[in-house]
Amino acid sequence: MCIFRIFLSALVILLCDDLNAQALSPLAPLPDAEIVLSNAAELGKRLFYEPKLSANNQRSCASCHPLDSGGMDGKVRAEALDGISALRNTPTLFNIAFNYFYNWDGLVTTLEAHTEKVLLNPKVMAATWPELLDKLQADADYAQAFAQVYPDGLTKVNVINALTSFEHSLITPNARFDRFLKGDQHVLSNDEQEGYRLFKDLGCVACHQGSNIGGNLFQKFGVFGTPKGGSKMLDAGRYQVTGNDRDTGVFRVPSLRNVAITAPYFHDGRAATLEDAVDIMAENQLGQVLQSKQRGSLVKFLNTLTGEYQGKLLTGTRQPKP
Amino acid sequence: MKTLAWKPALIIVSLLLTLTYLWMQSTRPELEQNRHWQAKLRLIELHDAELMRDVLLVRAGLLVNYDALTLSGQNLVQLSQSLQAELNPAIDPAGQTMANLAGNLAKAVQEKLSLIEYLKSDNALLRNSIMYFDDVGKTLPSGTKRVSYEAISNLWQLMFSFLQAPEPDLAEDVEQALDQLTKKPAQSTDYQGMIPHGRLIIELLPKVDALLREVIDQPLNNQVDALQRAFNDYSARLEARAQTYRLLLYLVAVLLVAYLLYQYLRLRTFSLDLQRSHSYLVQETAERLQAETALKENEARLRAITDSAHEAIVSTDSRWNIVSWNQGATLMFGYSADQAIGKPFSYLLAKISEFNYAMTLANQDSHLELNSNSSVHAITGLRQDGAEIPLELSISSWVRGRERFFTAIIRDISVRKRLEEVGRQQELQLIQANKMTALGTLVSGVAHEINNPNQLILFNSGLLADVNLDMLDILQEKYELTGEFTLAGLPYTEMRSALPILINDINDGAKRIERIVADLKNYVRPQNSHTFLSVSLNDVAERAVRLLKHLISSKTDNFNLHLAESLALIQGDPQQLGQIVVNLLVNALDALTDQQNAVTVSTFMMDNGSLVCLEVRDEGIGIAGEHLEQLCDPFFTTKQASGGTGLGLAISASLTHAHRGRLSFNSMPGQGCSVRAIFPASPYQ
Repeated sequence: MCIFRIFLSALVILLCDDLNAQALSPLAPLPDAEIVLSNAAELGKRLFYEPKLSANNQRSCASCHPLDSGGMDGKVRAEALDGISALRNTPTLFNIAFNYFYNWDGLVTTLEAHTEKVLLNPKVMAATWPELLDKLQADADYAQAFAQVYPDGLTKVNVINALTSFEHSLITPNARFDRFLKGDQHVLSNDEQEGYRLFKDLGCVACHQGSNIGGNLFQKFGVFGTPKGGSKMLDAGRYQVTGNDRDTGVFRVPSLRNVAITAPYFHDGRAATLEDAVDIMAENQLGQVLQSKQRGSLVKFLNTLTGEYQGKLLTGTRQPKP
Repeated sequence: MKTLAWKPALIIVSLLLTLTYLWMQSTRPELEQNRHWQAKLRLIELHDAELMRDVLLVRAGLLVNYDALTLSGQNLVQLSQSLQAELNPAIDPAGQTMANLAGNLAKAVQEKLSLIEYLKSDNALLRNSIMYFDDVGKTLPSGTKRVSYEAISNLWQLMFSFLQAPEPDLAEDVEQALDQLTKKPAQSTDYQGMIPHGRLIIELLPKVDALLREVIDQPLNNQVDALQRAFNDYSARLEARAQTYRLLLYLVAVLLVAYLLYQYLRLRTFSLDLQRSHSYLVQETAERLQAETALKENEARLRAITDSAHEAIVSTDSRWNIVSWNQGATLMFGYSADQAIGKPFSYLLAKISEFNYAMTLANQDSHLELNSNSSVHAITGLRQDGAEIPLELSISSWVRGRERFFTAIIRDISVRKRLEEVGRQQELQLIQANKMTALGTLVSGVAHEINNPNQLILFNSGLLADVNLDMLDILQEKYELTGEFTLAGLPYTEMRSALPILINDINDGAKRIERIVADLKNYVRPQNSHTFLSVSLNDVAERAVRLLKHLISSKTDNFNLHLAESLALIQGDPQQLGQIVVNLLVNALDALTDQQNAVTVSTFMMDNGSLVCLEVRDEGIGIAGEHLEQLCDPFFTTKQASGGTGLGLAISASLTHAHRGRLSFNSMPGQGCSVRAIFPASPYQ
């Protein structure tokens, strides 16, 4: 009875939903509306570059997520504040708004929670709210700016809101692949189109789907055998969040947007190049060995996912091209 | 009225407060909140249905993009958590139950979502492996050896069956087939790949189906239903309470309306009363307005009167400082109102003592109380230019507020005084004239009576003188004969010389009586103007001088006669004119004290020939100033001793008047005197 009811309502919604046509396509382009920063976002931008957000007044958000080099630090693993703790690879901050889970283990599902978590993480920024708010309050500029933007002025919630408002603006639309998806068949070369075909046929798209080409589900890292090149350090992954055995070694499927400029790859940065990453993915996630031509096509395809930020093609200047 | 008004106001306010309270109770925010929660619950149901749809689609391979699914899931979590957060603060048992139910719902959603996450992951892998199988299956016939073909074909068949119905025994068969394939020598990488993929399918397919079943079985609907029921119960309870409050609201509203109606009726009564009294008031106001207008008119009239009065009307305060000043006062004293106001009243007085005396009298009169009918006092005022003026003052006092004011009405009586003086003079003259008239009548009567016996005396005295002459010879003879003898007791020798004197005295006395009587007759007898002729005054003067030649020469050695040539004629009686000149001349001569004193008679013209004047000037004793006015009175004489009758000038003046002329005297005592007889020139020249 219950199933029937669910099925029926599902059917009704299915019939009525005009989004269904899109639902059949695994990938979707990013919206490319022009981004205008709100007052809150402007304030968030200042905070983004503000070292006072960290306990030692040396780290800002931009320290690990430089927007001029792909929105990430390009390091194998992020540098812990204490210099001892092992962190995971720093993902790019671009298009973070289209993710549904944050961090490699999907600890939080909202950008706000994620932002606060990073700020308060003793290994990252090590801030505490009273101290942080005092520091900002001491700066007359911030006090005034907050008072202008928010009726209740400088508060914890407003700091988070300002930062996330800015983070929401970090979108890189108009990648060549997006233009292809929107119908411009000639924007991709034959090789790149072949790469796209392989991306679908080989099954990459089963996990890397959605408008962010990933970022909306979890998967075990190493379905077929253990991926090579890992450190000895074991990372339980999502198990740390759920405590469920089957989540051991499970990580969030990352977004593949701008993947070409955000090396190194994987939660532990084990793959230095995109080719290595593609190989590992094919072998350990798809159970297939790629021919070099296939790999080349896939890499070429992945290179078409690099979008534009503020009208300019994103580049990873810190990361020399292989 | 104020004490009356607060009570209804209080009642109405309290009723309104009650209404507000009831209204708030009947639309408690809980009700609205409840609706909000219910809407959220419906949204949860909807998202759940959406989620279920997407899950089924995903499982069926119809949905290859997890964005929508993930979004629905996250929305569901958010909704359920917010519902739980909103219900949590509830304190009453019902609220607690609902909060628990919402907590259960949130937990169920969380569990369901984690199941769906697993489902998503596993389904992705499953789909990939099945696809791999499918791909490899498509390329099966080509490029494979016979032996392997059969094994692979078998495996494929089995796998297909397993996909159709994932039974455990079929799974075992597939497992076996896979094991066989493992034992076979390596074919190609594609076929090699089938083994792990096949195993994955066998592992995942039942797992995915189990997960799906679990997801479907997750009793989200039960939780939703339970919560819905709780909401319904809660809202029913709220509604019941609200209903009670609405009923009360209605009742209180009815009460309020009834009270307002009652107040309205009262108000109406009041307003009718008010209208009535208002109309009275309007009438009264009109009357007062009229009275005020009349008062103003009166005041204006009074001011006009005050200003137009010749009297000075001056008001002072209790310290006698001037506070009001009218036009009459300015004219009288010379001060303008600006100058006068503020000055003490004594500025206007020449003699303060006079005023103080008047005030004392007034105070005595009115028992120390000045009132309106206080008497009039004569005082002497002082003008601005220092001149003193006789004034008449009447003072009255009045009180305004606490202060006492005095108003003095002052009249300038200098004119009146002068007129009074003139009148007194005239009255005296009249009395004198009357006296003269009476005297004249008396005299004319008496004169006749006297004249007759006097004539007898005159006649008899002549006779008596003759008798005496004749008798003397006889008596001489007797004396010679008989010697001394007496006559009337006196010796004859004395009598002989005295008798003629006595008789002569009688004759003289009688003559004098005769002359006086004649004069009286002349004075009294009315003059006849019909006999007037054109006469030259020069001729009249010459004749008079000729007439009095002896007298003149006996009195003075210095007589002058200056007659103007071509003197105009006058109308008159030459006899009477002559009498005037003689009278004047005799008087002049009588006034002389010395033979050397000069007397001058002159004639001349005056006023361009319209008047003709005869002047008699002497250097005699002159006339005292106090006698000048009495000169022409009858019987006024300074020559009583020398036999003046006092009628000469009276007759002359009377005659001059009869000739439409006048007499003019100009004299200083001891300096001589000049008398002018002035006559109008005759129109017939």
